[in-house]
Amino acid sequence: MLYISFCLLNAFVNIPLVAQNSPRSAQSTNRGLSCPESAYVHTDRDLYVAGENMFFKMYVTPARTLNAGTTSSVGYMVLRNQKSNILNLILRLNEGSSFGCVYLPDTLKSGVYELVAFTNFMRNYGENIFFRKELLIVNRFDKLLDNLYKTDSADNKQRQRQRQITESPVLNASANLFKLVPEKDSFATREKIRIAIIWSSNKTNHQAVHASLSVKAMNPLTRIPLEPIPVYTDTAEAKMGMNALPDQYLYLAEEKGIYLKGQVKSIDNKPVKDECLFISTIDTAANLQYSFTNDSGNFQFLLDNYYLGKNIVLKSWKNEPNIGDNKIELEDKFALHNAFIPHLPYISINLKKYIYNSQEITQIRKSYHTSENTIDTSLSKNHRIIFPYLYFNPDAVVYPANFMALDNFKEINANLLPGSALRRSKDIYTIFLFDNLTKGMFTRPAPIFLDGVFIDNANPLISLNSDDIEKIELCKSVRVKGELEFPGLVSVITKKHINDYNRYKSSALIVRIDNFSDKVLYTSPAYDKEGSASRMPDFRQLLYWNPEITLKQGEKSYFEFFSSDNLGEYLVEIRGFNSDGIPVSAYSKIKIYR
Amino acid sequence: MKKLFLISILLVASFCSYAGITYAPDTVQSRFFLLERLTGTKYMDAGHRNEGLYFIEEWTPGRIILESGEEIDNLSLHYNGFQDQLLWLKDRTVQIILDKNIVSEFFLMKSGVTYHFKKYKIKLAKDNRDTYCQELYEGKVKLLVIRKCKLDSDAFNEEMLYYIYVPRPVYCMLIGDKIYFLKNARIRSIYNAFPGKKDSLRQRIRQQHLKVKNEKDFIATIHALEDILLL
Repeated sequence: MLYISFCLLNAFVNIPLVAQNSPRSAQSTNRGLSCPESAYVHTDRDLYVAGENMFFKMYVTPARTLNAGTTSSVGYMVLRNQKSNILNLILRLNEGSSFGCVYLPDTLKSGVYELVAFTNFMRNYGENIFFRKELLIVNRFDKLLDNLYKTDSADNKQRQRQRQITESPVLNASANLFKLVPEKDSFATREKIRIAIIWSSNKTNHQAVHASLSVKAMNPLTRIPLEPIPVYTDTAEAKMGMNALPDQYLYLAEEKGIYLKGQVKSIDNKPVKDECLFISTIDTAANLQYSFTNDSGNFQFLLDNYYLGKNIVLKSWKNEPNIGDNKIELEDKFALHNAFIPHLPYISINLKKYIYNSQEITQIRKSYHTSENTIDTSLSKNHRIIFPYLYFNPDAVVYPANFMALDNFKEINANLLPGSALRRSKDIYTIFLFDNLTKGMFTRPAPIFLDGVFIDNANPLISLNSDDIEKIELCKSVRVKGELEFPGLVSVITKKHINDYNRYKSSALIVRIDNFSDKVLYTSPAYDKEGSASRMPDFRQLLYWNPEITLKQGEKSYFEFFSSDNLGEYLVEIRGFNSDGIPVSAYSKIKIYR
Repeated sequence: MKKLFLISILLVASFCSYAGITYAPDTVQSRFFLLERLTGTKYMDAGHRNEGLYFIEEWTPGRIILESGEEIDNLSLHYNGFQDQLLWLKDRTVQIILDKNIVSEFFLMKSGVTYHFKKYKIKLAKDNRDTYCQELYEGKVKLLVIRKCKLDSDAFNEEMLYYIYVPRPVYCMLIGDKIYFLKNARIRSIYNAFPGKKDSLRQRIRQQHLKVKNEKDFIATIHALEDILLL
């Protein structure tokens, strides 16, 4: 009855409710709704040479049609070619934005690459609403640029079709709030450049603009005026997106952290429901996160930050100590289903010249190691990580080394572990503990942790002797973690506790969890300070990149930096969003002469 | 049970959106996921009746801030002043003593009043240990109270298995990193804690006609004396 009333109410309010237990029904309510979030990435340039750094800022803004705050605190970025993903990044969003830098591997082939940005929640509405941007990347040693001439009529048709889909819902909503005014039009090499922000209206407004500013060498592909920042407001894209949505998943807004999702299937490929799954990793204390599968066999964890950047052991927990043959499959958030059909640029003589010049500049910068000097990682703060302890004060701690040497765990258990019984059934060993509360033995076996990782039974312990074990900790009361109740706990820490995940491989899934990308700033040389006149060649094509600009309407602000030895025309470009999520952009041009 | 719980949180989400509350798709779910962060030991009453053991006798709705900064609300909580323990009533039946190491702060709500407790490292007796303190006043000076209670041995009746606990609050003031213990919630205890400032404190008390009859007056007095205490 309760369930029926829930369905009725849910259908009535027609919001994209999200739940583990009923993804299909909840998903259907999403149809026809706009995605409450929109992603945008401002990159320092559009044309790179492999081996260079790409600086970027990702913005996630609330949709303009919904008066809702940005909910996601995690953003995803993919750099891919037609065949596969080249780079996958996870970004920690702070007030809807994050920035960083990625190194474009030297080995990248020349070609058009696609930068895709999205949040987990945006995935509910299909890939058509993801932010996409094409970047031209050329290999430093590729003088022929063959890849850039390849064209296929079938590709062109598909591209045209895709273009129609992806471009239709975009609203050009850039607001011309201010202008970028350089001190003068032309500057000498290594001269200080000053650029002021002039507001169109003198009225002071408390509304802040969060933006990023780049000053980059113009190339034949640079489009003037700037392309507007796409903002999705129409419901059309949602409808289109929903058609392409995979049926079995529903994607939660990652407000508190990263969700790890997957599915448990039986040998005959059927979803396994109500399965309890554990995550743990090798460490000097037992650690754990759990989740349950729903009717579709799906599970998800709100990942503790502690597990980021580590290998995790993911396995099922049953009250009965048998090793299940179920398959655990993890969802790949970076897997993009829409094919990438690149728009190959027209390779004019001017573009070729620009590319050759850029290749030479990169070669020089590599030889003098000057590119390394442009990176500032001091902002990469270590976020507070709380260890996901399962217990804090064990009832008993035994150090076998303090006693007479014993040959195996059976002897250790019998002689050193008070209130612990090792039992064997069908060649499977389990440990039963004495319950301090009821003053009797628990009727269920205690979960066992070996070097912090949950193991199904005591079999891996049997061969361990006094020399192998550093300590054994016992909790002899009912330990609770969220919904779970454990009949005591046994944690064995070995002396080696090496990162040998192979010992868990037979009955568990072992995966590496990616960590958040570091926040990286761009630094450029200053030529006005004494002794700073560097003899190093400076052919930077990126003069300035500042991803952390906050402007307040009416307030004066300016930016200063130095020109390089690279002559030519430069584009000064600022892009960002105001507090309402309305995109703002402005540009200006300067020249560098000898 | 699990299903019922999930359905109920979804019903809350449905109601919130229907009521025009800003759509925050993750809030309800994250509470569901954050419950997983709570660890503790199962507790069972020995069968006897306790009076005055808990800060609020009945289970009260509360909110917890974890050491990680994550918040979980709508939990049924109890604070045991005798053993300085926070208890959580899980699924309306299971009582759990929450691990002190995971809880940073908690709030108990009763009759529209919120009682805020925070964990402080306070040296009581021999050891320096974490203690839950209720924050009575939070300015530049903080007035804290440890809601201790003591078993009243006179009232102990073995046959009835009836335990009576009497409150023995310990007041202290936190100025910067320094803790000043107060004997009780009286003006004299402030003089004793700050003997060097006694004259100026007394002058202010006389000027403002401050009188302390209860804890509420005591809080108002600390507020009025804050600038002198900070000197």
